[in-house]
Amino acid sequence: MGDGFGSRAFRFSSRHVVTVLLLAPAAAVFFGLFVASLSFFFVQSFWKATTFRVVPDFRPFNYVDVIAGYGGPLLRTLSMGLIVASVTTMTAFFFAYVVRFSLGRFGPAALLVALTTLFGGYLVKIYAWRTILGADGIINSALLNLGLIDAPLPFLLFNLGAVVVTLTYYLLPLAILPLYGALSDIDETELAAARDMGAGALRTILDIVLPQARPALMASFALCFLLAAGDYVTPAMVGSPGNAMFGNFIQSQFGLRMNTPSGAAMSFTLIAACMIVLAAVGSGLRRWLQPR
Amino acid sequence: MPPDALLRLDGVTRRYGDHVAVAPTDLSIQAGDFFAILGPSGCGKTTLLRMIGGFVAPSAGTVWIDGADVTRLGPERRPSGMVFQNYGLFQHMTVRQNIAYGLKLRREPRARIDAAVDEMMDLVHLRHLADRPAPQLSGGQRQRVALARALILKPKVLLLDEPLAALDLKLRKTMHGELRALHQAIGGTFILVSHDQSEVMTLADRVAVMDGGRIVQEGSPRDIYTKPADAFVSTFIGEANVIPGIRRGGRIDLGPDARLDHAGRDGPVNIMLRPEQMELDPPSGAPSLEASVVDLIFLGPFTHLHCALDDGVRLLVHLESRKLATFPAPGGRVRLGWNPSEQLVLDAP
Amino acid sequence: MSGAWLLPRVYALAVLAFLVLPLLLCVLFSFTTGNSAAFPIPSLGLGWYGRLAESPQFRAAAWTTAQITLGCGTAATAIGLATALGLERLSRRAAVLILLTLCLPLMAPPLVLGLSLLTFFNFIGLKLGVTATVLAHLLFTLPIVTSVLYARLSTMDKAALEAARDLGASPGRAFVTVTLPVIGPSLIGCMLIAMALSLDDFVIAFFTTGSNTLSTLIWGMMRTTLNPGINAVGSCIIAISVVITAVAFKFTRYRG
Repeated sequence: MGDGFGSRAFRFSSRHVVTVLLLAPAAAVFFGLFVASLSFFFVQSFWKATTFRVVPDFRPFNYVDVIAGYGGPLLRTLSMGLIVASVTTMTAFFFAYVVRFSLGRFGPAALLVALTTLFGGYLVKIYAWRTILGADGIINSALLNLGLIDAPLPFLLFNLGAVVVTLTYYLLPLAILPLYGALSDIDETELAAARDMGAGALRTILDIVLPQARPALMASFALCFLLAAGDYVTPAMVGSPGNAMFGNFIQSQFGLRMNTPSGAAMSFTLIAACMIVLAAVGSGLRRWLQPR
Repeated sequence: MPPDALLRLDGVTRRYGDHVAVAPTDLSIQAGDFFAILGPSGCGKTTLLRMIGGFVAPSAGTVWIDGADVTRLGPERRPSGMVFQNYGLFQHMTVRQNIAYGLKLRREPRARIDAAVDEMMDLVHLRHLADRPAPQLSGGQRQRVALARALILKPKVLLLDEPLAALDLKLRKTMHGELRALHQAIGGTFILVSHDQSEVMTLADRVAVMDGGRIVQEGSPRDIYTKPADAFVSTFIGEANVIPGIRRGGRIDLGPDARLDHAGRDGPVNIMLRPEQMELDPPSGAPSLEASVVDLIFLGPFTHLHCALDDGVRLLVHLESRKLATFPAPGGRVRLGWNPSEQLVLDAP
Repeated sequence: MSGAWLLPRVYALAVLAFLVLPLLLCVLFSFTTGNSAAFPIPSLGLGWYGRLAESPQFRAAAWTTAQITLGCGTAATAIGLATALGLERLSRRAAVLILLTLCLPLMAPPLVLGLSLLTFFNFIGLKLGVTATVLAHLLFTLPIVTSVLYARLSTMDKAALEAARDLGASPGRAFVTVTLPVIGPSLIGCMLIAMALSLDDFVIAFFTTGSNTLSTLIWGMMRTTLNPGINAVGSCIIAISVVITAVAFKFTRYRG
């Protein structure tokens, strides 16, 4: 009797050993790289920066400095992120909707074309828009050559609009992916049933499609918002130099001055602010899309 | 065409490129009918139903409901309600929210909606599941929600697209009874699409049989069973034996030793007989054929005899077990006959 | 009626044009013989590609990028497969919870991730370079690879595996003869997706490589002079990415 029990207990535990061994590398990456580096970064956000090096310390005041010194850029960055995430998520939703429900057999081809632009190279995409919108860029040179304008239009580049267009361009395929996945799980018959009961096309989207796509809607929105609010390359390349985004200020802490504590405190301030905004958006979305 | 037809189709057609899904079709359905469109899959019956509901635009023809031309109206503006084959319940809503949806769209007062939904849930026995989310319902419950959701809007025509196809046999039988009771209780006009002839026989008081995009016969289930228009209808509604023969000068030649008198045009014909219309060892003078027994299945009150003629034609005979003195053995020879007044002679195509 | 039919098509075409045209223009201008990425194009030629091929910086960067991309693709796929197999042995709830946790790095802005990794690598004394970048890229490629492989494994027909065991195959043999052939296309697809993600990244690579990668090379070029040479490097990245993505989709879509 003891024998049988023992052998079963042995098999039980050896099964666990294999599972643990299989999961160990991922755990090492997650804890050894992600948790460790972010924790260390977090700890450093309380340290003190002297002229030549950073000294361990406990200065919660670092965060107060961030809010006091960069509150404006933070708000500007969050608003920019909200605009980009809203525009991108809405554009992506309607594209995914059209691909799923309206295009018929052309749908998969349209989706494939959209998704091949998923990885064009982040910098390449920013550069592409810079060459399109620049003073000697494609739009201006084309308009000049057509004789429609006499001098390059200066307002195309180096402003918030250019930042929004470029980020939307970069994020759009990323946002389409989860939304299409969610829409492909919705039965077309539900749409037909809603129409049958008297709902028009927009009403059907509002009452039937959006509520069921809410998790994906939130995922796309969060992804776009976090990437847009955390970006510093796009504002630097196509944005207005006078209105730098929060990411640019974070990055500048690591330039000549190498003020890691300040940069770290700014990073976590940004993440916390983003989480608050996302939580608000999430609960708003939940309330708005609840079936009545 | 009777003026009081609730639904009328005039030359309604649907083409997909070169493919004709529904050939020009005329049909009129009276108020209060339980009408069935019966046919094999791919015969165009669902397309026809979807054109009535407004989900498919006809390539040609006109759809009239209650005297109004609705051909160009979308489903949301037609007085028809649809129960879909896979239900199409709103997965993010409860039973109550699903059923109430149409009334909410009409902006009826809250109290009226609640009362109507309660009444409807009682009618389809769903009151106890009112707040259950749609994904947690069983097949039969989903079916009832779909019915209630469509009926609460009091549609002039209720369209049922293979509504029971996804249910198991036993549940289907229960739902047959409920559907009949509902139709009698509400007194509306139901149009059912089905490929299941027993379902149609059970439920409908008028039937249109479709094949290859056109209606081949229309009538009461009994008419269609006893007087099928052609061999396809005869085999599709109920079981039928089709015996090929050749008519020459008023006599039909069925084989080396079987002939019967029958006036008509010379040429190939089919004689159609239901399995219960054939008998063993017929009285002399009746037409008969010799066949060998392939199999014998005893089913209590009835015994099914599977036979084959020498030229390979299969015959099925339903016999009353208590009238059999001896059971024929597989492999043996039997003589099968019938009463000529029951036979149906159809010119072969 | 015709408006309702036309609008979705026009919209889809507009979105596709918005997505594709900038990349096409970028490629088009890489073939210009002029000195700027602008109209009019004097004539088409491979001049800028020729200059790239001769540039030692470009060759070095391409080699570094190749090492990082392949290293990251291989490592992410190997670890991802092990993780997915491990998750498959847990209850579905636990597996999904672990998967969501693994996905947390995707929610961190790359800038924050890059800076904290830079600080951490300096602290533990890991030299910046190919290894550091591969490790950093694992953070955002591993969750995606694991999710795809876990989804594939959990939809796999378990009966085939049990049948193989029943016929006398050892667990290892059953894995090689039954599981691997079924998930093979997904494995290749995942590896390609991981490579594409790694190639796409600039921010994290910028903070963790010692030498130039293709994307940091473009960054350097963008900050000095804007000329069609950038279009040429960009076109190389676009071409590789599009091929990788197209093949990856073919493989992963093979079965859901």
